[in-house]
Amino acid sequence: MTIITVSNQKGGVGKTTTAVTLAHGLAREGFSVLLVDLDSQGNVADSLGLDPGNDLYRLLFPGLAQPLAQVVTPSGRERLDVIRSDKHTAALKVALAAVDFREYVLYQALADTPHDVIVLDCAPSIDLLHTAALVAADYLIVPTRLDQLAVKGVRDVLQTLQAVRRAGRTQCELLAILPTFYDRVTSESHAQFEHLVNVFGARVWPPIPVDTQCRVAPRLGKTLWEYAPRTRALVGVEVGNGRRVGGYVQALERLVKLLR
Amino acid sequence: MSGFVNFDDVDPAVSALLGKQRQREGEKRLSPRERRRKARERERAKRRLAGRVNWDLPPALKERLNAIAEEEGVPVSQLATVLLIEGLRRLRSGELQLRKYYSDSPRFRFVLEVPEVPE
Repeated sequence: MTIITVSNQKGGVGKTTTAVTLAHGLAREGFSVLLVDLDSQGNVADSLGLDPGNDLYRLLFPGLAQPLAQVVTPSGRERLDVIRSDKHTAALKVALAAVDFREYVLYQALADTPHDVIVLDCAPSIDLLHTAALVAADYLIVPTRLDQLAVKGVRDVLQTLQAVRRAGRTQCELLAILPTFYDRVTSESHAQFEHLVNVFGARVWPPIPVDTQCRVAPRLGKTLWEYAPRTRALVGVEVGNGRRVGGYVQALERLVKLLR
Repeated sequence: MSGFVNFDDVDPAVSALLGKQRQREGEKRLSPRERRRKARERERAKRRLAGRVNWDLPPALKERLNAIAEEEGVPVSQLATVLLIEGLRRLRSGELQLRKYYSDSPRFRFVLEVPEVPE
């Protein structure tokens, strides 16, 4: 079992889109995947066209926690299950604050899953569940927009990871910094992309192009693979000689290679 | 931060994208005349790409073709083109029979047994 955390303390960078797209992509590649929503906004359920649910609350609430098998919800897609989150997650965080070894609560709850891969979609905040996600994870993916504050936002996430590693609480590795909303037309986007690469080097993966389908698909409760399988957020941008770079297809290929 | 992860190098795909973007950014600063010239160059290069192939050849054959092209002082693409056209002619006339090369191994279907590359 491999656990991948998708996290950035800034909001609106494409965390849920990334988590949902990669999770469904892995399921389509034959992996059995569990997608866990750690954000009380419950966007994962919306993105998949599912009813809202308090699966996470029922999984983790101290003293009332239910076994994993009882809270996992089928997504309606083959090999992809979900643990949904909703406003009850806020109360869950308050309750967990009083628990000993609370940073391990997610790791312990997910330990017996039969799934090959677990993808954790974090909320845009540094909180108990965010730390628990870093503790539980094997790998971290950091989606980031290409704006002036992008580098700072990524540094903040990495500093949090570094702190958790120093405390000996995790072996989680940074797998990728994934630029999102990449716009090859504007000089500013290019300049920010270059700056990100200059700072973080080879950990910056080819970017996800800006694409309206990323807004339309979740509104319809569909993933990009279902709604627009040839859209540029999936297939990337052309760089000449018929080659395409970037997009979730390329990110997925790298993930599959890592997992196999 | 540098002691935490290895930030050497740049991802090759990212490098390709940055290179392309730098080229575009550079062209933005050219005069309209220069930009038109660059656009014409790109069109010419694109037309050449229509015939570009990416096929696998036995390494010995590839070396032999390169060696002959160098001896004859001709581009290897043109040499390969002539040889392929000649081969097509022989195939068309019946002089060359592909079925002679079909693999009869029970393990493989629809595979040709490639002959040895002549010296």
